[in-house]
Amino acid sequence: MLSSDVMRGYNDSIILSLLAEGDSYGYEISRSIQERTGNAYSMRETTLYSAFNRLERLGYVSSYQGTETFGRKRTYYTITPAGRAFLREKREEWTLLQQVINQFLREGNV
Amino acid sequence: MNTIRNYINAMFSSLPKTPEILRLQAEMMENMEDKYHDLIREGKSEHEAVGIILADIGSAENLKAELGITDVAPQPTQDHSAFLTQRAAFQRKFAIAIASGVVLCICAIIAGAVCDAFTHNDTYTCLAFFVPIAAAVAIFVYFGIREDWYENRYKEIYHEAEPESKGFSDAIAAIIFPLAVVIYLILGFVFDLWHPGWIIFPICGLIVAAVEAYEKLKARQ
Repeated sequence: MLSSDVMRGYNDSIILSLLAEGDSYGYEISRSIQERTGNAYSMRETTLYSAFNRLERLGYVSSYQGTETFGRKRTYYTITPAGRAFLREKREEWTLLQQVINQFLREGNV
Repeated sequence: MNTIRNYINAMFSSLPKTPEILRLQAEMMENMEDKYHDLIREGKSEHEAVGIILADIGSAENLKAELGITDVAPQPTQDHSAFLTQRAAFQRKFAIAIASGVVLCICAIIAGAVCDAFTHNDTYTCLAFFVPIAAAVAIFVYFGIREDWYENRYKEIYHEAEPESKGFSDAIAAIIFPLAVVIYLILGFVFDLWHPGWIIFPICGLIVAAVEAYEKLKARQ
């Protein structure tokens, strides 16, 4: 289980990358994160929903009301072009970051 | 489900009620409902489902940190440090003023007695007694008001809660002492009872002290 401290800088990128695959809503995203990481990381709800709030304010996502089978309303999110651009930037940054950190923490270095 | 709803409501209760935050709260609520039904479908008991959800939500502190809401008490700044030195200087002056007021009161009694012994003139005796008393009262009132101002400012800056119970004993003191002065003067001038009349002041002091003590006791319970 990864600590929320380590993951802090990546939460926005994770959410945006999932939305890049298709519109989604809060619970589905948190479930996807858990499933894909094999429960190695589970985003706290407070983190997830305030991230939506922030990303929407930044114009990286937009929300709309959708309905579910039981008729309950549900807030869906979709990624905006600005969000995709930001995600691309983050991807490049991540590639570079991996290279940099690898210079120090690669196995066999220790 | 009610437990979850209550938890979320409690968590948001300390946050400002902006439309954004209210939406966030509603959204969290809907999604937690989904999660709850999912967990039940997976065969979890109600208690387990609620436990899992509450463990994953996070706390009000998390939420505030994520939203960038800070509610720490303002730290004393430059402006306040200037105020603090001013206040310290005033407190020294205040102590000196109160002491000289007390000395003036004692002087008044001595001056009155001396004047009475040498002149046997009531007018002079009264003057010798009341002039220093008036000066002392002026000092007490002036410095008392300024002291109040400094203390209120100080409490504002440091968000010190005023002891709530003080109101009643303060009100009593504000009424009882002027009343005592009036009664004392009437007793003295009209009935010439200066001598046993003065006892009214210590009695009033005792009453106020007793009320204050009672209030403190009640506040502690």
